[in-house]
Amino acid sequence: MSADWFVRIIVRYWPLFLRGAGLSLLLALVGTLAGLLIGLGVASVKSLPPGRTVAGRVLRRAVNLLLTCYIELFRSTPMMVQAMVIYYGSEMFFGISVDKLTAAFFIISINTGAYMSEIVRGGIFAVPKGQVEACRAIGLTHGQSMLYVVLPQTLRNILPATANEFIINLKDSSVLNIISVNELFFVSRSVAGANIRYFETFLITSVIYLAMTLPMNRLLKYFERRMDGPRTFNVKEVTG
Amino acid sequence: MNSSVIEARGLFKSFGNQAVLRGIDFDVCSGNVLAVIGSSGSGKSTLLRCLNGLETADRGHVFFHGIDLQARTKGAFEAKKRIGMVFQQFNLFANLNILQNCMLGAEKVNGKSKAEARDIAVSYLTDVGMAGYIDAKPHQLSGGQQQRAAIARALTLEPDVMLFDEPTSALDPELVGEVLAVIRQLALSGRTMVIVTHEMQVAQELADEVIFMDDGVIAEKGPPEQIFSQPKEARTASFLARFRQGRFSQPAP
Repeated sequence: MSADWFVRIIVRYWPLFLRGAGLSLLLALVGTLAGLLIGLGVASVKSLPPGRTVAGRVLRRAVNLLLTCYIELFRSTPMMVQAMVIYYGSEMFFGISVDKLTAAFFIISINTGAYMSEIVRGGIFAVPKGQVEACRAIGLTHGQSMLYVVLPQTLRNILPATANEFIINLKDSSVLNIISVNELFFVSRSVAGANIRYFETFLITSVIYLAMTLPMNRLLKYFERRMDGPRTFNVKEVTG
Repeated sequence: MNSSVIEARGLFKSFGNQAVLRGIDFDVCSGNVLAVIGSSGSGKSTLLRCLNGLETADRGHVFFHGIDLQARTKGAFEAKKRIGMVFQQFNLFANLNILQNCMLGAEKVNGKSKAEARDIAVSYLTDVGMAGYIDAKPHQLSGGQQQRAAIARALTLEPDVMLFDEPTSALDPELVGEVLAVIRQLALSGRTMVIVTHEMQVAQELADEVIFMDDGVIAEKGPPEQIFSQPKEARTASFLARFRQGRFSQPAP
């Protein structure tokens, strides 16, 4: 090992690293946001009040069962395995040839969605029940109370867990190298292999991952402060 | 003669094998204040929650201007909007400031424009002495201030009847007065109200009729002068005696 290898690799391959890091970041960002939306949808459906008619109740049970299957299936298998099954399976069984990048975005989103569903459900649960009753007491519909009162507080509740998911996604996007997506790990492996310099290359790679994940904590604090609003308020002059 | 705003007929309610309401009948007349007293667990709160549909009685009916609130009809849903509720724990929306808390109902339920909703909210917040705090979030305020804002929020829907579920029970003793002052002012302005309370003085002073509940039934019903000075039922007398004893045994402030 020698120090000039680091310099040589960086100078020669920095555009590759940069593009790989960019794709990893994009995968994590899209995966987390899409996962959040899936989670909001799934948890909202799961928190609907019980059906009024028998048919409605049966439908609710069926939908809930389906959603539970989705969550358990994706939480209980490795994303690497999911990637293989979805990427190769979609062509074999459904005759759809998805390109690997689309498959990668799809897999990371649907995988995150499964985790986010449970996170959002917990976030909804944490909103005090009395506020939901107050919504009903002033005549808001279930949808309105979710939209104006419950979900805004849920988003605040789940912010730390969502940031966590983002960090996990940024690192776990590396498993998508299994379907040859040009993310940071895949790029690093190519660089390392080409020069037979594994340690040097992957040390650089670690620094890049660190540089992307460490600022997240700061970003989280910033968003938390923004969502909480000002700490103080001004007492207005009372007129009339 | 005043007409009935609320008529409760034969209400029964159980949670599991625990019978909470065991046949309740009463009327609330327009402009009257009905106070519901009784020990904890006697079914007072459950009764109140049945009146605006937060709980559904197992048997019996609640009529609001003749509309059956137990029915799952559009009419019943609309009728419930005209019943205001004030909770023991205030239940202000934590993500909204005081003004937004009071605008939400007027805007989204009664379909007012933003400007109208704001005017309505500010006017009721002024009535309860909270107009200065429209920018505050609920957690930044004292319990008394939160409860006054919660009363304003209920009023913005311009309800025909106001329900109060132990509105001062969660407050520090020193904050009870400001909330009672608001409730007193509402009662004197001729609002129809049902108030579940442990404040016997309030019941005595404001109520046109007092209901004493015991073990899921109305043990005694009558004008406050009679209930508090000459209770007919032994259990009313013993409740009041226990209550007074509790009060007087407290250290003087």
